[in-house]
Amino acid sequence: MPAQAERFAWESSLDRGKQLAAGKPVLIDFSAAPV
Amino acid sequence: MDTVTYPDSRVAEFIQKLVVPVRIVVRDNRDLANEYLVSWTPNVLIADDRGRVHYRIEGYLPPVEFLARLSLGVGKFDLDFAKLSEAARRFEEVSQRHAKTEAGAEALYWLGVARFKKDHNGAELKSSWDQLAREYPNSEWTVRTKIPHKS
Repeated sequence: MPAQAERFAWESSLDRGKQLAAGKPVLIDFSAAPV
Repeated sequence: MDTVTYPDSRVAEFIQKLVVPVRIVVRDNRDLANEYLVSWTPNVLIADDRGRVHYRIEGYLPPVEFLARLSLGVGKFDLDFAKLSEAARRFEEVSQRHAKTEAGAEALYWLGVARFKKDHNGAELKSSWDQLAREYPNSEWTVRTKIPHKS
C-alpha cells in the first residue's frame, strides 16, 4: 500500500492532549525532531 | 518514523481514529522527557488522560510492526481499564493479523489474561496460553506462562 500524507495532526502540548482524550488513549511520541 | 511509518496510510488512519497524538520534542522538553524516563528516541507511549503509561514502544519500527505494537498498546489500555471485551477483541485481532511475530505471541498472552479476567474461567486462559505454547514455543511470552508451582 503506498504511503500517503499524514491525516492526523500532532498536538504539541501534553496537557492539551490529555484534555482532548475523553477516554481515548494518548499517544505520546518523544522525538528528536519537531513536527 | 516521520519518513516512512507515520505517513503510512494504515498507521495514520489508526492514529486518527483511536488515539490522541502528542509530539514532544525532547530537546525542548527535558523535564518531561526525564519524568517519563525517556533516555532514547523514538520513544512512543500509550498513556491515559492522567499521564499514566500503559505501553511503551522504543526504537524505530516500520509501519506493520508499529501498527502491531500500537494495537497491543490500545489493548493494554483497555485491559487496564477493565474494558475486557474490547481488550480481548483487540488482542485477538493482533494475534491473527500478526501471526508468527513476537507481537502475535504477546497478543496471545494478553488475550488469555483478558478472557480470564472477564469470566474468571481458567479454561479460557489455558486455551490462549496453550495456543501460545504451540505456535510460539521459543517466545519469551510462552516462558512467562510457565508459572512454577509449589510441590
